[in-house]
Amino acid sequence: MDGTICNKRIVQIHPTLQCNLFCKHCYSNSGPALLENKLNVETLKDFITDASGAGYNVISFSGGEPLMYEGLEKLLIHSKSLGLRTSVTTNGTTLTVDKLEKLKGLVDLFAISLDGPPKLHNEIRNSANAFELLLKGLDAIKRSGIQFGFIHTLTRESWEHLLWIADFANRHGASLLQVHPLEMIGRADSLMQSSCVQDETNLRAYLLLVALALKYQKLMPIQYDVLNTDYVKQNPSSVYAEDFKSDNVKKSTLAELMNPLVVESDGYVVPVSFGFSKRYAICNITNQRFSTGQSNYLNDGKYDGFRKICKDVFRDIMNSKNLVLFNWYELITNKSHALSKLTADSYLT
Amino acid sequence: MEQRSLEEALLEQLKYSNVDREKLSDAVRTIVEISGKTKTKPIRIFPKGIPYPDGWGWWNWFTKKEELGNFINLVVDSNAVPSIYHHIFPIGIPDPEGWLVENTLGAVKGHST
Repeated sequence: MDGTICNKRIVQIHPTLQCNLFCKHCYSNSGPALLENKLNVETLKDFITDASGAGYNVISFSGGEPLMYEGLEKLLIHSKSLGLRTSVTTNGTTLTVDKLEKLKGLVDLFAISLDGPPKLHNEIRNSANAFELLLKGLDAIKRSGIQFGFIHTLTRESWEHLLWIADFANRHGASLLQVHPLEMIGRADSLMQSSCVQDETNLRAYLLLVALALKYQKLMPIQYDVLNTDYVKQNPSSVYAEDFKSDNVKKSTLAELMNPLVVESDGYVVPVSFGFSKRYAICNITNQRFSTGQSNYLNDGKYDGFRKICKDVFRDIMNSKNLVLFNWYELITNKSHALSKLTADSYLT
Repeated sequence: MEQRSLEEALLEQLKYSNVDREKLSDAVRTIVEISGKTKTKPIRIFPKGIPYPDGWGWWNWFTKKEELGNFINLVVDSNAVPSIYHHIFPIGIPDPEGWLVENTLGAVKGHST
């Protein structure tokens, strides 16, 4: 089984929900007022040590705005001491030359959020000068020499701007343009319903991104986080839907069985995507070492619950008529909540 | 005739024509089928907020010019996106090793058919 990501075994950490912005589409409901929602640095260092031992080799920091987390540098130093690769997802507005100087050699990739041309970007960021600040941050990061890419949240309005977005990214020397469809989670669920990505938007975006990928091949890879139904049908292991034996679980590391892993800002470690139902959490690192939690998770049969969700989603996809492209992470997260409403015992038996 | 790039012509087509969902789906399926025959790496996707650690997208299907040509011809012949064929053309990047090159890739040039 390989899931959707191969030899890179990723852990995404949300050390804080504090952010200097209040974006309309924020999946984690982060903002300036959330000063208390943060994890202890030592707790996270222990977690990173344990995650490395469990086979994960990439630590990806998100948030909130991770650059506002005072322990970020320590965590990056610790990650590097273990030989792990690191990335930081940022809104780019707080990047300065001085800050980046300290992070040289500690961050392998900065992923900067870009929502579209200036007007659209500012509108979604809920800030009249977000784009201007982004440009300043961009200038700083280019001077630092640290590799960076852009992450774009695709909306019903932004697909028409993909050419501009790709051109902007390439002109500024981005190493990557990653496009992820807007998910109705967090603040987006209340503030961006009208921007929800419908099926036709996905199809249009896909075709444009193919053309753009051809244009920028080798200059700037373009990544689109959707799967095709036919591909998944032929490769069920890509979504953890192949038949597997529970006995094999105990012989495997968690990284071989679940990738990525997500640490939410309250300490819960959940499968594959932020917002996954905590009923299926591996553990909470604020009251248990991850090394113990993941061992219990694998030995007590809890992993089966995750695999059954995956199978359920796979069946839904195969039974859906006319579905060509989909966001697997959104489907599986929604399914985890839908099934959480059922009696846990009746589902896991 | 105005020379536009493939992506500019495609955007215009997608924005202003009445290409229905069925044709869009067919175009996507066509591309997926081609990628299934030519891709060297499996498809990878990522959840929200996690960038591709290698900086490599899964769009690196077309390793040879011929494959790109096949793709273009398929889109043209299938009429999946009608009238785009007016702006589709061979992309003349003279790299004998194929598309995966370090430099020289720039704006797509084109000619009308």
